[in-house]
Amino acid sequence: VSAPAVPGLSNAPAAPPRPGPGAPRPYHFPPFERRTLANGLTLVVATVRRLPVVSVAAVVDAGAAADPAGQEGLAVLTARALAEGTASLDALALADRVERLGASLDAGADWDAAVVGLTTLAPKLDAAFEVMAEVLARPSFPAYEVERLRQERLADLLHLRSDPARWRRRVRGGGVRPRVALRAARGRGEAAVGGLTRDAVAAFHAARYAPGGTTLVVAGDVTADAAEALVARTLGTWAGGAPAPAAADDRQAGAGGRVHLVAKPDAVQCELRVGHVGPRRDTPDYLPARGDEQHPRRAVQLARQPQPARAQRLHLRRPHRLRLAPLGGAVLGGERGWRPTRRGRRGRGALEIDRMRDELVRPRRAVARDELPRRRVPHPLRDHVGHRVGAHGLRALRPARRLLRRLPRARARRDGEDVRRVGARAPAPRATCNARGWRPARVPGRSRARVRAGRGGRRRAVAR
Amino acid sequence: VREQQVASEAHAFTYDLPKGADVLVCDAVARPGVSAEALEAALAAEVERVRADGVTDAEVERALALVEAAFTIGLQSAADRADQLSRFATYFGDPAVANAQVDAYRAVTAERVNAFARRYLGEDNRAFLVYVPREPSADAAEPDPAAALAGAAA
Repeated sequence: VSAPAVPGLSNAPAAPPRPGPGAPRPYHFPPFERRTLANGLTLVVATVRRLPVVSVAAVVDAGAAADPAGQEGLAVLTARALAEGTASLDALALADRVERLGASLDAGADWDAAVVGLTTLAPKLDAAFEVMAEVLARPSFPAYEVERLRQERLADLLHLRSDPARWRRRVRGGGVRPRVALRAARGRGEAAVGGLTRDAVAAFHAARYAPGGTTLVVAGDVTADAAEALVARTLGTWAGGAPAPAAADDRQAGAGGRVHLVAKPDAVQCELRVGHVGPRRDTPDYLPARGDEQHPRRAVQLARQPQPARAQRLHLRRPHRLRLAPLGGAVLGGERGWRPTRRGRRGRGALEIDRMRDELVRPRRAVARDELPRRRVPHPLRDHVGHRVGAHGLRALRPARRLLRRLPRARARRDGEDVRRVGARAPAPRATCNARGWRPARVPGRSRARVRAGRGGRRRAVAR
Repeated sequence: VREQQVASEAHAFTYDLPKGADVLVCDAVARPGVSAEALEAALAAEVERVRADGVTDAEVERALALVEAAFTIGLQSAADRADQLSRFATYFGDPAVANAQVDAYRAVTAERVNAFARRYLGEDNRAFLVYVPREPSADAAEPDPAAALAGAAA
């Protein structure tokens, strides 16, 4: 079948032949050097000369895990306030200086660490890093800027409540983590942030930000010698040993499974999340358990395969999706979202929600009983399957099997023994915490949250 | 954001359309307690200030530094390189135009920016889109979701 001629293009010159692909080249991570400065600062330099660009990351042992009790949010607020002024530059002057250099400078914190990042063109590295060093070691924390950031954080928490997906994730995290997120889940995150002061921020910086607890990673068009000289010149007088390591609190938030029901009358979709405490990052189980982040495309591909028989009974407008979402290494979980029609909205739909939740957690018992078939799992799906088994159990593995059957067995490299091992050690179903989004047809008043006891769990109010 | 503290964030961008009328978007999110009218007035005043007073050479240099750095940093990944080449091949028929972009920006002067502002940033060539929270609906006819859940389970 020949394509019809396009009027006016009959005399167009033929397109040049497409170039063929080049031969595949093996990837090698750039070599790097590790050095320690006299003040204890660890310096890691990877020289990559392909472009005149340099990126610097200062990783500081000042993550949210180090938040003092009752001052949850302090680590994040401190990190964000770093770039709001230094001993020699106020916030506007600092922003202007960075922009004139064409650089980007940002600071933030997660559970494990605070990170100050800088990316700049190589010829501007010295000037840009001087600003970064000021931000890292000599921030001024102006009271009005800290207050502005605190208000922004409070506003962000308000936004979070209006976003069903974000709020549900937070509630679920609070259900399985004992302290920080649990306060937020109970609606007291605002109270904790509201109590933070400029002095608390400055004290946290003095206690946690020190060269002994900082690793400076420099990558790009710079040599190790040049980077060391620059760092010694700008941060050589920065003093302080490594702070006491933050105690990782990975205990279960409470005994027994619990269900958190979050009412969002304006949500367009109901969603279900299941989570439980997962393996710590410093254990060998962590990587096999979080494979979905490494293969997100495959996860989506797999999630679209199952035919939701139960969903059909609910008269769903579209198939539910199953998304796996490890959170911060401490929570493993899954999510199902669906949009019920009128028939599925009310009592019957609520009952089906409970059944779907049980589907997610019950098969985990099969893993605990060592009933998972010992089958060879092709790489790279091994990690994906590992997470599924760890988080959801045998039944969640079904769609993966379909895809596995179509893959050449020659690609198989390892069996799923490590996956099974992780799955068997995962917490029992009763230790799970389910955060549930619920969209009734119409609910009077504002959004509310309720908690209902899960199987063998206890009743507990979370947020209102 | 910092001086008047009426917005929690504010930025401006264009869509870089190759044909037809491009759009310059100034986007701002109000701080809690700040009305949409106050935010709109502050944003309009800032645009008017640029149109009336113009920008300085230093401000153009700062913008140029950001553009130049963003272009170079954006070449780090193969995907971004392909994106640049396909963009200029599709829009202008010549992927090599990508190599002239930074020089084209360098040729821009404060006078040209101000002439553009005077011509295009007038009030007669402007539209506001204001997104406001919806008031919670009040309808007591529907049951409480938790009660519905408990009843169904029973």
